[in-house]
Amino acid sequence: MKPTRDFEFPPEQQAVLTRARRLEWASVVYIASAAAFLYVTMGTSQAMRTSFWEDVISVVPGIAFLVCTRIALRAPSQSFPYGLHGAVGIGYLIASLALCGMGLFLLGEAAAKVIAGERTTIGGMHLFGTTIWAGWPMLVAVAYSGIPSVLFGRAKASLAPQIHDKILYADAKMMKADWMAELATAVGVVGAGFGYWWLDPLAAAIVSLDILKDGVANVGVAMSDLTERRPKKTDRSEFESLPDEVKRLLEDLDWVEAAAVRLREAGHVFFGEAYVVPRVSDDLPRRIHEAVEAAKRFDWRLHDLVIMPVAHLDDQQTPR
Amino acid sequence: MAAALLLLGACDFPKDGAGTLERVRGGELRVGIIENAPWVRIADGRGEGVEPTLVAGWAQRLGARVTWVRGGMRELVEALDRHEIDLLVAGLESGTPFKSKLGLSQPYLTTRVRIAVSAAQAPPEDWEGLRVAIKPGRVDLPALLREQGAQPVELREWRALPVAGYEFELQAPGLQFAEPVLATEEHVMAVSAGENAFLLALDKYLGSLDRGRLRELAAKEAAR
Repeated sequence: MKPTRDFEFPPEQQAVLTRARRLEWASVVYIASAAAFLYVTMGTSQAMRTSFWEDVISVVPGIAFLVCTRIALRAPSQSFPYGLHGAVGIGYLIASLALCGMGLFLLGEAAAKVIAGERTTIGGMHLFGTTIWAGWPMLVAVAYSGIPSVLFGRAKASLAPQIHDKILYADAKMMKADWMAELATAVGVVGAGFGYWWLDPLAAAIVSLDILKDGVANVGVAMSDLTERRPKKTDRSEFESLPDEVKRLLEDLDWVEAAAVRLREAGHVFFGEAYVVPRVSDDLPRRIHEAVEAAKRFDWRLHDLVIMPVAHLDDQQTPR
Repeated sequence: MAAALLLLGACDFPKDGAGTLERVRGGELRVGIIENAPWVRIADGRGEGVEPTLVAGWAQRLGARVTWVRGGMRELVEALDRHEIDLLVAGLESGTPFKSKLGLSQPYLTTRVRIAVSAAQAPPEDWEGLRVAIKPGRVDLPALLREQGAQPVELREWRALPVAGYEFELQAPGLQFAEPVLATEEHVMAVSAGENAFLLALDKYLGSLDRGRLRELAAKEAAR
């Protein structure tokens, strides 16, 4: 089979990818340290326990990003003629499923704790020769886990659209949700300290619901991506404008009467077909070749385009 | 946020869910006890041994008088849950299966269970089939020894045999420790779950104790 070209990003995007990978490495290391801190201080607090697992699971999108962008960059081969761009979609699905599973698990645990009437107790902790209330180190751990997440989330959200990476975007959203989760945890810990023990599992339940909500939303997007739904922008705010732009680009050519375009997403890039009604029939192979090259130059994400000359555009070929 | 935390630090914080600390101060401290030598012994319905000695010291600081309540483990855990007793001492360890129902203190002492042999002989490499002496009434030791394949023998006096017990009670001239360490135990006490201030007060008291004197107390109790 004829492999497609070995290309993922132009130099500018390649530089963004390098920055994103560095950022992800930093955040994976940071999250691991935050999780360790939470684990050491968590005691019997359900909210702290949930927060710990939330941290552990929030490493998954980061790792998925690091692994999948590596795989996606591999050259197309005889066995994978379309390249391995799709790995990004699979990684995204895995990360989203992990979120769902963890949300359900923690929600169940919080509910079980309330039903069993297990009251949270936060007593003392021996530290440097004195005994302090164990809630204080918990709150420090929560702050350590929550506050830098805001900054990481912002940085990732600004890089994701530049390289059209959905895992990175999902990860950014998760980091944004992280500080809210940590705030809920802090409320749970302080609430338990005031003797309102039920505030602790309640905070845990709210955090788990938030994880579950993120998971369900992302699984939905990952599945529709894999079934090649009409492409959406990286931040899912609206439909991707690229198909229309390519259609306009083709229709602006003097030999093209009308064009219809169909694109599908494969990780960072797009493949697709364009049906054109030519005004002239001479020298078509050269004209088509030049049109394909122009389209690829137009947007780096357009990985390959097949142009098919037709006598007239069928209604079924226009996307609804 | 920092200001809110400072405010919290200034007022009475943390608090108890059921106000145990306030009630016990200058009042009555009801303590559940279960026989588990040398940590807890019961004589004439009163608690003795390592943990009741510590509890008596704490009660004195709180200006409380101690009432001892005897019972089975499940019974006392439930009594604690219903606030019918305030404190449970039973030679509990940090990994107790009742953990989720209890408010556990910080470990006040960590002990190791070991086997000692005569300093004159080389410790055996393998305990399979060997006889090891234990003091009568020590419930946890036989299982730990059988795990190693050794055969526990209850003896008041031991001479030629290797002997198993807590590290602190086997530290004697003429004895040396053999591998492996049979168990490491973190000893804790339990309060009613949700009593944060009461537990913090207990942790502060336990944290202020001198480890060396605690070990001496444990060794003295173990020798009885």
